[in-house]
Amino acid sequence: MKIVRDGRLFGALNLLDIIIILAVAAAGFVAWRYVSGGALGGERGPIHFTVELNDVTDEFIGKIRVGDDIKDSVKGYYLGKVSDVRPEEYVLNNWDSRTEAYVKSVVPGRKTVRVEIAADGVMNERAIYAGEIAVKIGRETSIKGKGYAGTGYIVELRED
Amino acid sequence: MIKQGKLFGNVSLIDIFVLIVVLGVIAGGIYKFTSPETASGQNRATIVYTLRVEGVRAFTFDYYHPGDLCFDRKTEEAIGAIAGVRQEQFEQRTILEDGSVVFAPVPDLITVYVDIETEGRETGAAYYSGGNYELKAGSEIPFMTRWIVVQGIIDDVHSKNLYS
Repeated sequence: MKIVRDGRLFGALNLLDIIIILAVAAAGFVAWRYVSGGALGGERGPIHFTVELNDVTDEFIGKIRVGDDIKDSVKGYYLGKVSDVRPEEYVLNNWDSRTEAYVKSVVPGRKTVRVEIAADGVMNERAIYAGEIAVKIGRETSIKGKGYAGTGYIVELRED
Repeated sequence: MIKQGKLFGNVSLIDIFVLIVVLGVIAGGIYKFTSPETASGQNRATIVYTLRVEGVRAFTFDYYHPGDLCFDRKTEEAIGAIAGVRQEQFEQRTILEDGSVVFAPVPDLITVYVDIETEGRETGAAYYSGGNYELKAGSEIPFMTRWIVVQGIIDDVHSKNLYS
């Protein structure tokens, strides 16, 4: 029995047929992963996570309001709504050569703001997702609301 | 020998090429699953390694939970589960005005040590996690669990027991 006959596999399928079958199978696999499991499969429920933005002004903080819609400013995915805004002093660890020790120094005129975001989450053993984004402590995240944007680290995360 | 693109006038070169590829795949599979290093679980072992995460903020410690599965952030390969976690004050290496070096504590920063256990393999030359990820002291791992993502350095690797 010949495997390839007249440019066709087993005399029936040509290369174009095979490419089309593989493409359809790949598309089906991706669709299956998206709809019923795979990367974003898991239990759904509300989550809260907090992004810390450093070295900002009071004026900037005043633009962020509870209820604002927040998107990932790099990929554009919707993340959730602002559920809390917590301004704090912006503090740096600096070396004090007189005492030869690190000390906390407050930066005058600048603030840290913690922006808590309420989102519809998808949770599995690998990650907790807000929209398409895997939300994890220590992940650098760029967010934007209406008229403002900033980049900071995720510092709080909880499932409700 | 080769007539009109056919070996001995009967078997085409494309047929031979397809057969060689198929035989190669079968041979590779047989080698993979029957080679001395992987056969019959002779080198299977529970591997324990310690990941050091330096200079991170103190609150992050609460997000390491024993039992959480661990993954390589880049490949998303499973690399074990957290068996234990501990912390100590982070000390930054600092050069003084006279050129001497001291390690000075930095407020609110800690070093976290994460013990990770994985059902892997031990060979004469290396330790592997369950997913064939080579574990070696001194190497960096972009590490994540369900809760946290960090860069860690492997401090120690050893096998807990052998199932011989």
